Amino acid sequence: MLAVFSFLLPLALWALVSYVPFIWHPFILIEQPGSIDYFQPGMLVEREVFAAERARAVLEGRSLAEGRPANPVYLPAPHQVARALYTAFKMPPRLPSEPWLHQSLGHSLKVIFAGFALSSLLGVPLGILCGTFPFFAKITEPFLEFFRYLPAPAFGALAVAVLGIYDLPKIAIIFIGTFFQEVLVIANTTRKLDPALFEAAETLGANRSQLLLKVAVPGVVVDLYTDLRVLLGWAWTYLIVAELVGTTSGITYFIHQQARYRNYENVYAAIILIGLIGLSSDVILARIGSALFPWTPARAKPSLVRSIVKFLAARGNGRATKEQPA
Amino acid sequence: MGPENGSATVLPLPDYRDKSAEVAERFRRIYERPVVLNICDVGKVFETDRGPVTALDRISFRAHRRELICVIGASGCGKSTLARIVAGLDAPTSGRVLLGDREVRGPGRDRGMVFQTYTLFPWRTVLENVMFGLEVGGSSRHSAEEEAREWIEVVGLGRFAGAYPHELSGGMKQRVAIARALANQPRVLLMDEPFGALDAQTRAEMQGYLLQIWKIVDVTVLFVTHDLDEAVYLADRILVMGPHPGHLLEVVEVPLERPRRPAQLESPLFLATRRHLEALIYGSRVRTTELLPRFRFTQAGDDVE
Repeated sequence: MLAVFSFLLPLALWALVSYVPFIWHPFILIEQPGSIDYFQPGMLVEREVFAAERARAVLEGRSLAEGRPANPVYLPAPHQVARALYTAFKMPPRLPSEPWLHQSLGHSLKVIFAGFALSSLLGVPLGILCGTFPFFAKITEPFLEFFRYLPAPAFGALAVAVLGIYDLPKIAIIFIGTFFQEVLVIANTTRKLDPALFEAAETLGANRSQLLLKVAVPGVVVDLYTDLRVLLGWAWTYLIVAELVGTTSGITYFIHQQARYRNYENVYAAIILIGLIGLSSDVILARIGSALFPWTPARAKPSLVRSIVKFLAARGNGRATKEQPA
Repeated sequence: MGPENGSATVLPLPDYRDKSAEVAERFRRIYERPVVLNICDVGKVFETDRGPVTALDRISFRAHRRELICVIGASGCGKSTLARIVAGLDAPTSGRVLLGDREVRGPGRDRGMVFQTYTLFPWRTVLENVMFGLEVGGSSRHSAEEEAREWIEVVGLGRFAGAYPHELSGGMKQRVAIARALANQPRVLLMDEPFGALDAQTRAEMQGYLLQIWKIVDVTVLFVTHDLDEAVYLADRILVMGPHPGHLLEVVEVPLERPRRPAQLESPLFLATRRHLEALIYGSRVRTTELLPRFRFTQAGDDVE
């Protein structure tokens, strides 16, 4: 319930600023220029200027300009953004060479997936290795610790020089942005695994490779999965910077292009879409996670549906309810 | 916990060394059995920031086959360290541990261990946990499963074979841990305060379970505890250790008859043995709580004591 509210609150605030004329609205949108020659229909004029011109027109007995309060062009109202979201998928782009919104998004997803998959492919095994055997941690972590502080975008120019101007340097930046964090985070997660589990396995006769494969890997896989979800968020952060490298591409290209046309509702639509994709992928991954790992105790977080069912079941007395084991 | 009477003894207790002929005969038979575990002059020095600290000072002891040995002592006397050295999880800095005639070098399948903390693998079911040792030992999945099921039956948890550890109570988890250790058919079962985290009621149950299991399995048990009653109730012999550095004070032969029954907990011989252990371990320090400085943080009128 509160989760829904947390979204409604900012939305209500946005609607308030957009639809209540006396809140903010520092401009006047000209509807009738009247006798003021530099006014044009659809033009935004600062409130003070409009008032001054109007006062002068009243004094001189000329015809009055008409207009209504408006917000700056960079703050479109919710319904405009909603419409833009809808039309972005239906309306062809202005120029035939420009990509559709969904094409831009698809391209971004491809880049982010490639970068993240590459970094996880190397980062996860290395992280687990570092976390299990101090030897690996000692020979890699100091350098990774150093490299982690180098901002990934700083490698933009280098990446272009080495990898060209298309997708490769972008993938490289996402890789640089996530890989080093990933190894350290996963190594830490692995180290947090109860050492008594390793000792128990040793007394049961496990050798080194069995410790790694039968204790460390299954032992961290739940937390590792959560780590990867967080790191995927990092990858998204680097995406926008990465897409500016070389030829601007993907969702960033779409945003820049629309901002240039002053279609700010499209810009908002694209930004919201990124958020929606991020959030929904995280929710989906969380769901998949709880299905994948049946041994994790249900984390005492009753879903809305389940609590409603419980409530109804409790009212209709006599009906047995099957409670989740705590 | 102990009886309140200090010097004014109400009931004359027998000497703890007064064994019945039956018990004496039992010990004679135990000592005829081969020595399974031979701890020779084992010492352990830990290097710390404040210099070397001696945790164990020349401990020597021999356990015979199918003996149940308890190790007892105040905290910090190195009793857990001793168990870990026998398990091979820590190496002694001097002396050596022999299992049969082979020296212990690192952990191995011939010594199972049950820890105080719950160490079941949370991602494995009860059955899969018990199968672990057999799996890493190279048994086929089929035979490992069959054997594991038997051991789960032995500890009385057959109905829970498919459950995950988080669905079990603390006592059940430790029973699974015992089954998991025994599935490898080790010669020595090390138990490091395995019931320390359980409530008194469950602990008493677990002691009963342990005795039943031990009776039907060919295994020598080294059981570390700080609970005097537990030690007297379970053990054939008790290794009493003292602190700073950890050293062996005495090896006490428990004069109680087997099979053990809860009723023995109140027998004079039990109390005598317990009193002796208490004197050995705590000496004159028994129930001397230092007086705290007198402050008063309450306004309530009536005194609680």
